[in-house]
Amino acid sequence: MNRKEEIRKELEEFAPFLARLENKMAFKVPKGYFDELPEGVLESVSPLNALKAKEAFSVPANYFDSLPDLVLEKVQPKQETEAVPALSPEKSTNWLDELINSIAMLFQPRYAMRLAAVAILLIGGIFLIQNIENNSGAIADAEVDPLEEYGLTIDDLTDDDLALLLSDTNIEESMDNPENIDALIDHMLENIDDISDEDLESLL
Amino acid sequence: MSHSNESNDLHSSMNITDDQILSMLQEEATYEKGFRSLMAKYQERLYWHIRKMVYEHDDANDVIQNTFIKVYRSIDKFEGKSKLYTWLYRIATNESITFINKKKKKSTSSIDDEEINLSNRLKADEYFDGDEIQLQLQIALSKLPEKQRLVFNMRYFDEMSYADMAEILETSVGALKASYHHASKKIESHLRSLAEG
Repeated sequence: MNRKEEIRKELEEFAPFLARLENKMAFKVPKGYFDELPEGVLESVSPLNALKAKEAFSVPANYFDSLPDLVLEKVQPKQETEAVPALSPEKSTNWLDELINSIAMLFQPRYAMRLAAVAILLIGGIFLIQNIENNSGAIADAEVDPLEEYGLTIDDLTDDDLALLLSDTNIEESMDNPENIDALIDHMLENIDDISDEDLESLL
Repeated sequence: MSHSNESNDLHSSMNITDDQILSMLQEEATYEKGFRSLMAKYQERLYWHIRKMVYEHDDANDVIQNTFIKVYRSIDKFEGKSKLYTWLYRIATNESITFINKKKKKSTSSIDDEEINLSNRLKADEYFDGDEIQLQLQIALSKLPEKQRLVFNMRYFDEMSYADMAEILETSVGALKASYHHASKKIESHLRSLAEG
């Protein structure tokens, strides 16, 4: 008994009406469908096949060598020779138009950026100059004679004050000033009687 | 390639053994030829299996293409533990069920509406030429649970052995026999009521 017969007999036991029906296929397909189906499937899988073999994306040769230049070309300002069509000053007919065009040009990104850079440099420059002047003043103040700073002369100082002053200030620098030397000698001559022999010996 | 050569290739593909196909699929140089042979040998059987589940040709065409694409991608996973034929049927079955479930989710029709819709669709379908009994058989089938419908189609139309069905559907032979019995009784009842009414 073949399978077809076996299945029919099996069905007769519990569905005799159904067993007597012809089990033909009521569905159809378009003409030539099964001839075209394999091509359709292969067309669908071909890109997958290509993906298996290599990376899906690639870049032109030396792309990464030229990429930095491409980027810089885009971000750097273009040459001055490039025309500004709508706002070109050459096309203006009177001074008022020229002025309006010039002001409008300043608000174009490339001019505005330059203007902003110049303004920053100007403000920065002024600030720097002021800072230098202030610092110069401080330096000058530092070089002021401590005696002058307090409205004193060397005559107003006692020996102890002088000793303290000499220990605090640079003697060599003070002695570079002839006036200081003269004043010191005069002070010593005037008060020579008050100086003991021992002090004189140690001083000399 | 001439038409006669294509016909010869198709004919030779039909006679080629599964082992020969699998052997070609293992070599890169013969992979496409092997895949063409596999499609030529099994496309009709798989198509009809799918068509009986989804009813309309356009839907069946989508599902068979997806089935073969899946086969193409996963043929290296075929371990040869089952027959190539049953492995292909299993993929086609799964793809059909996935398709049906997706379609059900999109549909807002009731079961009664579905029955009327199917009847109207089949009557209007240029690729369905069944008589009233054939139409009623399909309507009766559409009322069955999917598993019973699959079992009935595979046994009644495809005349498949229970052993192969068990391999494809991963179900015991006893359960399949019971399922076929229930499905046949329900269809018999539907057809008898129409004949007597």
